[in-house]
This record gives sequence, structure tokens and C-alpha cells, in this order.
Amino acid sequence: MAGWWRRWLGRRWGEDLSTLRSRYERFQHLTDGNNRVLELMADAGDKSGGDYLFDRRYLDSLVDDLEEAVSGVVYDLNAMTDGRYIDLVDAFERVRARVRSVLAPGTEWETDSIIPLSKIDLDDLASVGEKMASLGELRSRLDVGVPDGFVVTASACRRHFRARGLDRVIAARAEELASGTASLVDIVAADLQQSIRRTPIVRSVARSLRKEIGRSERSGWTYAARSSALGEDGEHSFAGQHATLLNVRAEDAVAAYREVLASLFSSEALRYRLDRGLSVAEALMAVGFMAMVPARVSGVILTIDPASPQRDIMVVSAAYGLGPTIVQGTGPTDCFEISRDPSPRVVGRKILQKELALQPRQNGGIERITVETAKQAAACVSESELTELGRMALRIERHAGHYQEIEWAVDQEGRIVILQARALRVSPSGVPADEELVRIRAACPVLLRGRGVIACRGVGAGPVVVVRSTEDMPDFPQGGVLVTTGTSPQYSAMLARATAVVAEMGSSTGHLATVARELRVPMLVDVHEATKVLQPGMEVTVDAEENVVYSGVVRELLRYHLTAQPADADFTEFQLLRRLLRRITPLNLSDPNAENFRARSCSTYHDVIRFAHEMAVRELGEMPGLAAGERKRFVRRLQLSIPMDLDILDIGGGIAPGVEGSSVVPEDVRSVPLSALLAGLSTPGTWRTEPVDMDMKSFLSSATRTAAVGMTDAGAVRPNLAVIAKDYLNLHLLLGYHFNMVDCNLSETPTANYLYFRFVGGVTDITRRSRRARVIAAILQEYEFGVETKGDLVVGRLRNMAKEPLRQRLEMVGRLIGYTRQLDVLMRDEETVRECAQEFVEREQLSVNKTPIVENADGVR
Amino acid sequence: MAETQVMVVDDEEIVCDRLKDQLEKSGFMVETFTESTRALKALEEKRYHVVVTDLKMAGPTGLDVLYNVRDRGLPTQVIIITGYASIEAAREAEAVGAYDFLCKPFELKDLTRMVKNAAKHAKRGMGPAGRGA
Repeated sequence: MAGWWRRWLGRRWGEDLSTLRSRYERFQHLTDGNNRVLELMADAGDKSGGDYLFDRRYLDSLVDDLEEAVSGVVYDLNAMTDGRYIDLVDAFERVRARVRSVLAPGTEWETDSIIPLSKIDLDDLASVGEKMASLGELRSRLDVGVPDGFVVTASACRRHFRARGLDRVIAARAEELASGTASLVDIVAADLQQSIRRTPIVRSVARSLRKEIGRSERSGWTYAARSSALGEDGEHSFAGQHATLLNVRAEDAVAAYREVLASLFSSEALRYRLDRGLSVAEALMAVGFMAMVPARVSGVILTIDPASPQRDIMVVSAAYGLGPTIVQGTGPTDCFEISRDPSPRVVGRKILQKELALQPRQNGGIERITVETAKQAAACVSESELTELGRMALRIERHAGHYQEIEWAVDQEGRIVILQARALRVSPSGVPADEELVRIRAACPVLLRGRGVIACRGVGAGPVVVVRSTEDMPDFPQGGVLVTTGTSPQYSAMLARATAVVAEMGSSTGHLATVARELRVPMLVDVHEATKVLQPGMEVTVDAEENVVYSGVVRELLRYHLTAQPADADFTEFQLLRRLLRRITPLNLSDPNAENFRARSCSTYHDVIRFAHEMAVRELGEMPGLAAGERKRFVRRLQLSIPMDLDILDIGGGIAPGVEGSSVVPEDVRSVPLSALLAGLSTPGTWRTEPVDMDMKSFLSSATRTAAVGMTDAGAVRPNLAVIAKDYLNLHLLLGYHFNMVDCNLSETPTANYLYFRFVGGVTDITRRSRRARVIAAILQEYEFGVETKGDLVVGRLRNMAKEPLRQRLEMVGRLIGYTRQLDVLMRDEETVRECAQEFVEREQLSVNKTPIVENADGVR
Repeated sequence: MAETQVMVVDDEEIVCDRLKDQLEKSGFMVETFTESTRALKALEEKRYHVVVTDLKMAGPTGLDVLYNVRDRGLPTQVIIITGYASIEAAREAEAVGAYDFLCKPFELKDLTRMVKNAAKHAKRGMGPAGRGA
């Protein structure tokens, strides 16, 4: 408390008006920059969806524009704070280098020889191949069970080929093929494989591989060595043409690596390349080494039956032991059909006699064993395992935005692990055509149409889950449709579980929307009355292509959407854009109270601007430290009907032009936020003046505190001061023995808007003061503020909100300031905390509606 | 209705591929050219309802393609695509008689709509397409 006091009264108590003004202008500039970055990110996110055509020049200019805007924001923050955030410059430079490297020709492909799976996501496509990149993605972003391991990168492969002259051999043979005959292919394939098998792995790569294998935490492991050729699994499946070696012992790892590399030129793979016009000379292979799963059961799940997608079921095949039985079709398997519900049920089964199974052999490799007689004719997976598997598969599908083909296994402990996941191509014949889609849409019962703004395109369905504050977050279920009033950045933690988002407020350039685009969660914002129309538990389909919410789950629409070709998969520019966005838009600093809310934790541009804006707002909040001489010259007294002294300092457009003199009346105020606050403060009944009885203890406590206040500063308690501009208010208010601080930007641009409210102090003992703080906290939460309390200090924050709802909240804060003025004296017990909060909220609801009711043209309720 | 013949000219392969893909989905017959010289040659051999061409290319530019079509009095409609830096040039092209222009990046469905309308225009001015000029 003492430190806080000193900061309040002492800091910058010597500035002149021009410093103050320029600080404010700097802040406005920072806010503009912040908005510009959010817009650029929103626009780029839109373009990455596949509905746009753009070229390399667009990417270059996007990177240039972002860089300029973000560096401006970083500069402004430091200019405002006398360079107290120099470490943000370093963070910015780091992000900048990462972003630039995506577009730098050639360099982006050079990586370490080894990358652990835990550090891999889709961003690393070009170095670890699509197969491993998507496994890493599942592990890091979805927290799906994936065996641990690492990847020997494409860079390592290239280094090896070059160092051993294999690149020249391959190029020469590729040349022959270009002019040769089909019969030559098998010969070239055999020769190339032979060359690779015979050539010892270049020392640097072999050393890295042995070192990684030799790490203590990997002792006793055996591995599955999996091919992950560049281009494999993406546009081109290369299904089964490259090698996978199972149960590889540590001592055999280098040999296994060589063997998998050789399969880059298997006859099938080579033909496949030639048929599709893929370069042979530039073929590269990354190899994944994953901890061998001693599977009890293995199988494949397709999240839709490709033969008849309209049935809307998933199909599973499963057999005892290791996977090749299934993927290579070497033995009979059990088949199951399971529903695509959030909790999938088994709807069909075919159980076969399974006599043989593959299992890891003692000395490496695999062997065939006989299944126990009793188990041979039984289903090899249980219902509960199938449900769990189905759930996992749907999560993966949702994240990928496309039907999936997934290899899985159940280990000896009964855990399901994912070994591979890729997009499942479904022939368009089974899904509705464009015209049919129009008819389907027309036949669906509409709950909301055209009310909001599309923040992320897509279609998602599920049960409505209304979230009103961060406290509801842990309960958010997998597969729910998130319906909220506000769009707090902290909500982003739920997005990985949500199938769609509908928010009453917010804009498509807000933080939450940016994260939704990154995770590809369909999202509508600014949807009036969403929480009234969409009731908890209702099944709905959010069509964020057409800006409609339908009642019920519209399966045809979901099916159409999951089948649409992921346009970005096939074009370099799309891949580049998505890689860029992964370094630009993720928001790691979502919670300003979290440990990691620091400059050096910023790892994307989004982090940088979020941090900078937050710090700038805090900085501005402590602004009114004006030298005494300046005060006399520029400060004017506001004549109020309530017993409150308030001086105002206009730094731009806050008072009607032409108004002269040392005092002004409320009618002259042009500052939108000050007007709103005054409206609240002077609402009849708000300003109670009758004295409140105090018991002796409180009285003594208050007497001490008065003395403390008096001693703090020679100038004693200065009058209350509001620094205002047209859209801005910074108010420090000492009422009795507690402080209110309001800092607010209220403009037409939602992303520029915020409201900070800070309340601290009181006349009574700390217990009662803390109780009052909790009343205030409870009330603020009711109005979607992010709230933080420490003892008798309450900080409430709102940001990114449209003008009118924010204005109403500011008015409410005015009434709250009046209501709580002497409330601490009344805080005799805990029960009163709840009662008082409730009383205030009920009175508010009587006097004004909490959320504005805006009637839409179609009037749907 | 007879099939609508569309020519796409752009020196960037991605643009050609994407447009071909998109326009074929909407039922057009599409041919793409990454070299404008070849596109000009093809224009002499075959009739197209709509030409979608990039403005700035090595060799003959989008304007050259447009003039070629105009000078020979073909009913073919020309849509110009440009980077955002050359909007002025695109306006000039429109003044010369381009059907419309689009600035990159643009939404594919906007182009599809534009091509549909341009095709209607072209068909009013010509018989069944695809035969020799």
C-alpha cells in the first residue's frame, strides 16, 4: 500500500501540460498502431482461408507493413515511458528475425540435423516432412497421446547427400529418367537404393543421431523409424511407398536411418514421382524415430466412411499386436462403425477370427505369434476404448478442418496413442453440391441470421455452452459451441476445445478472433442477444460462412465443409502465409496477471502489441502529475450538483470550444467518457449523504488512517482531477478515505476502447475494506470485467468493446462509485458481501438494461 | 448454353493454377498461359469468351492483350488483374475497354462472378465459341 501511495502522489508531480499532452498523443499513436496490426493480422488470417488469390508480393508487403506498425508500437511505448521497455525492442527484433526467415530464400530450409518431436509443429513442415510435422502438431497443440521421439531432418538428409556426392548421382540418374523409358525406372530405383545403402552416413549426422539416441532418458528404448518425405502425406500420399522399420534397437539406429533414406527411391516411390511430375533430383527424406509402442491392439480409424459419407459414421479396423497387419492388409481384422457424436457409440461391428499377430522381437525387428485361442474370435477392442478413440479422432479432425485417416494403437497399459494422422480425401460424389447446399441451408430452422460479423470462416456444431467469466472456463467441454458476452483474450484457452464461437461483443480484429483464426475455430462476433437466443444445452450449427446460426446439428453442412479441399495445402504461397502467421498471430500473453506477462516472453507480433498496449494503458493511468503552476493555468473546476470537487484538465476536445473561465458546467463537457461517468454519478439516488453509524473499532481505525494520509505529502490531499480528451478520461478520485481511478478510452473503434477501474482504501479495518473490495469485484464480474483483487485493492479491466456497451458500463461505474462510497462501514460480515452485490445489480437492472437490446430487422428472439 | 471458353494469362504459375481450379469448378472451360506471347498466338487460333490477364508480365503486357482483342474487333471480354501498386494502370485499361479489373489479393468468388457476367456480355456479341476465328 505504501509504495502504491508514493507512486500515486509522487510520480511525475512536476510535469507540464505539454509533456502530458505529448504523452497522450503518443498513446493515441500507439493505439492506432495497435489497431493497424490487428487489422493486418485479421486480413491475413482471412486470406489464409483459401478464398483469396494472392501472390508473393502480397506476402512481402504484409511482412513489411507489420514490421513497420509493430516497431512503431514498440517505439511509442518507450517514448511514453522514458525507455523503460527497452527489452521489448529485443523481443521485437527476435520475432522480426523469425518472421523474416520464412521469406528468406533458401535459408529457411536449413535446420539442425535433429529436432525433438516436442518442439515440432506444422510450422516445421519443410524440415521434418508433413507426416512428422502433423504428429508434432497433435502433440503440442492438441495434447493427444503421441509417442515421444525426434526427427532426423531433411537438412540432415541434404547434408549427407551433398557430403557423400549422392546428390550428383541422383541428379545424373534423374536426367536419364527424364529422357528414358519406363523399364529404366526399376533399374534406376534399384541402383539409387543400392548407392544409398552402401554409403556410410556422413559423420556429423551419424554423430548427432547417436548422441540423441544415447540420451539418458531414452535408455532401453527401441524405435519405430518412420519415413517423412517432403511432400509425403500432403498433396501426395506416397502411401506405403517408403519404409517404416519397427522395433529398431539403439545400436541399429544409423543403419535403420540409411534404410529408410534408401526407400526414398523405391520403385513405387520413383514411379509415383515421375507420374506426378515431382522432382527426383530434389527428393529429400526426413526420418522420425519414435518410441516403439508395444501395442496390444493397433488399427486405423477413418472419421468418415469414404464409400458412403452421407451415412455420417466413422469406421475403425483393428487387430491384435502391431500395425502392419492393418495397414498392409496382411491379416483378418475386426471392423467397427461408430457414430460421430461427441461421445461416439458403436453402431456396427464385424468380428473375425484373428489367429496371428505381430509383436516386437527380443533382438529387434518383429515376429509373428499365435493369438491365444480364447481371444481369437473376440472383439480386440472394447466399447469404451472405441468411444475414447472416436473422441480423439473427432478432435483431430476438428483441428485439421478436414476428415482424417488416423493410425492408432492401444499400449499394454490401455492408453490410446496416435501414430499418424492425415487428411482423408473423400470423393465429392458423396457430398452435397453447391446448389444442393443452397437448398439445405434454406430448409434449416434459423436462430440468428446476419446479426454479427464473421471473424473466422467455417462451420461448427454442438451444444451451446454459455461462458460469462473466466471462472466458467475449466468446465468448458470438448466439442461445445462457446457462447459469450465478451471476448476476453483469456478465453483463448477454451478455443482448442470449442467447435465454434458466438460472442455478443468484440470485433473481428480482436485478440480472441485472431486466435480463433489461428486455430481455425469458426467464430461470429458482435452478435446481439446471442446469449439470450442461444440457451445452454441447445444443439446448434454455427455457419460462419453465411453468418447464420441454425437450430440443431446440420450434418450435410458439416460434411460439405469437412470435404472441401484445403486450398492452402497445395500452393507454396498459402504454405508460406500460414507459416508466417504461425510466427505472427498466436497469443501467448493472454493474461496480464500471469507470470509470463513480460517483454521477454513475447514470441509473436501479437504478443508484442498486446504487451505494449497493456503497459501503455497502465502508464497513462498514472498520468496526472502536473506541476502546481501548470495546474493553476489550465485546470478548471467542474460545477457539479453532487457534493464532490472535481477539477478537469482538457488535453484535446474534452470541453466545448469557446468555453472560457475557470469553471465549467457539465453541459460544456464534450468528453464522451467523462459525460458517461457523470451521468452515472448523478443518477438520482446514487449519492447518499446520510451519515453511516460506525462502531468504535472502525472509528479508531479510521482515525489512524487519516493521520497516515495527512503525513504522506506536504501538499496534503489534492483536489480530484480528471484529465480528458474527446474519447479519453483519466480520473483520480479521492472520496472519503478511498481512491477511485478510472482510465478509459471510449471511441467508435472497439479495438481502441478499454476501461480500467481501480479502487483501493477505506476508513475501516482491513477485513471490512476487503469485504467491500469483494462486493465491487463481484459487481464488476457481473459486467464482464476481468477482475483482480488484493486485500482492499480491486482492479477491473475491459477491452475491445463497442462504444455503446462500454459507455453503459462506464455509467454503471459512476453509480458504483457512489454506491460503495461508505459501504465498508456496513461490511459487518461475509453475508453482507453477497447481499450488497446482489442489491446493486438488481437496482441496475431496474434502472438500465445491462446489455443493450437492439432489435434487428428480422426480429428473431 | 454452349460452354464458356476462358483464357487465363499470368506469369505466376500459382495464379494460373488457382484460377483454373476455381473457374473449372464453376463450369468454365479454362486454358492457362504463363507466357503472354503464347496467349496472343492462341487468341488468333481460337475464340474465347473471356480473357483474364495479369497486367504486368514479361513480354507483351495485359494491356497488349487487351489492345490485341480490341483491335481485331473481337467480342471477347477482358478482365485485368493487377497488384495493388498499379491501380492507375488498371483504370487506364478499363478506359480502353477492359470489362473490369481486380486488384490482388482478391476473393476468388468475386472473380467467378465477374467472369460469369463478362461471359454473358461476350455471348451477346458472338455465336458459339471454340471454332476458328
